[in-house]
Amino acid sequence: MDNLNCSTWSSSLDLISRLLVEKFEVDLSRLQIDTPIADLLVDSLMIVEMAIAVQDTFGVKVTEDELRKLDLGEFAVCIDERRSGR
Amino acid sequence: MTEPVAVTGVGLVTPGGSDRDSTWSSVQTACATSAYDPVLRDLSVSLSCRVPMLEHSILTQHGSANLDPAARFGLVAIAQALEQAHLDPKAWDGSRVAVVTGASSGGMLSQEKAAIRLISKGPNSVSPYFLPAYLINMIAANIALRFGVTGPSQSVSTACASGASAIGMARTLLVTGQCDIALVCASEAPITKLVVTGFTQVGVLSRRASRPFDATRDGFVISEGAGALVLERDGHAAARRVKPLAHIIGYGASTDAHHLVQPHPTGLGIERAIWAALSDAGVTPDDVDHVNAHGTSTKVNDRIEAAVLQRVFPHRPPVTSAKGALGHTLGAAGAIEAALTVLAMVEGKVPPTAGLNNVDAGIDIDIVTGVVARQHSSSIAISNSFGFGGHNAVVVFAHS
Repeated sequence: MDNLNCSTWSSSLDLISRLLVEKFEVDLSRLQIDTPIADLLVDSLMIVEMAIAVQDTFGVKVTEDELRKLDLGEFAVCIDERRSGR
Repeated sequence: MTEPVAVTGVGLVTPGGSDRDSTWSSVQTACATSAYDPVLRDLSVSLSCRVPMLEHSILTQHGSANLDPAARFGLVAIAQALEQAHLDPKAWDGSRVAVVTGASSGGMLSQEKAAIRLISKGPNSVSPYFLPAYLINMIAANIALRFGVTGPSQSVSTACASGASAIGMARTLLVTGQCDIALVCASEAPITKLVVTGFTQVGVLSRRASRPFDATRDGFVISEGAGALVLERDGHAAARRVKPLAHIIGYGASTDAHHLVQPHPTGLGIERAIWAALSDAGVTPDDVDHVNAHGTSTKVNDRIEAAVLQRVFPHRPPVTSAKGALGHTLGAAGAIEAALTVLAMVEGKVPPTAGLNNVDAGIDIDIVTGVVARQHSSSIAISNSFGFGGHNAVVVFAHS
């Protein structure tokens, strides 16, 4: 299991990680790239809040369904792709 | 006459300090806390009293990031009061504990932020945490959640009398046997552009300073903070072998039904609330030897309140207003000033009224002035609270 520090696409991942720790009070030790986002954001309010935070931080949209399905690594890739317009 | 209720702990978060001792120190040395507020720089009134940096272990718990400041103040004040009362929430039967909160409005900073986002970025940008931070009952809900309170909970709103009304409600829950312990917390974080504009338009804010009962007073300075009290039936405190700080022996309330934001011109409602409180306590005016006045520093309130005090208490017990030091915390004021009244009785002092240099010529009551608290043992004291809407509430305390 890769640790966040080993990430090769750290830009979005770092920002998401910072959001999770500072805004969503997630313990840093729980941030692994294969951890489902839904395990980190434990209720529906946090899911909605993350969608808003992603829009504010990256200027891209993610749906609540995507947040419920993706793990942290997939989520970061998804953000990267949308930021680069792919 | 109702069974006495023991006050076994008080907590304070105010512009005078983020805890009980620093607040008491600030008030008893007449330290005015109003200052220019850069958040209000575009407004015609840009004075406020702000709570200093607030740090407490209760605010490091999960779920704290989205709390409105009003909830943060309230949680810290309650934590302080519980500690003083030697109560461990992990050990109590939460179903026998009640929480009663007071506030004139909900989380106004959260409301303002949400409104700005709604207008500038659309509805999808509004945080789902807006509503849980804004609703007026959420201070009670957060206290219940953090401390495991599963008995009755109430959120009282009578504008600037809310804190005193909450004490009255909590006392009723105790004496009717609905709980063994009642946590009272009144908290307010109203310093937003919208709220300050609202009070400015009503014409009650000072552009200079809070000066209760002073000849030059021209309004209050808006403020923020929280006051908390732990109340128990006397027998419950005795069974825990905890010595009460003071007792609540009476409570009285009335409504002016005269005007939405002006008191009755002769103070009829205020006077009825005081008489009701004294009657409930089974004491006469002569028994009262200290008055913590509402004392807002507005022309009208202070003139009318002083006239009532002069009529009801011709023996001139010492009077003080904490709003000179702390500004007006609106719905929190009743609980903050109740806590200060308890501390005055415990310490055997009556604090001076900050900002009061020359008592208005039309006012003839014994208001404590200067920068040093007056040494004065109080056996029975009252705390007055009056609110927009014509709400009046008076609490009677007895030295324990």
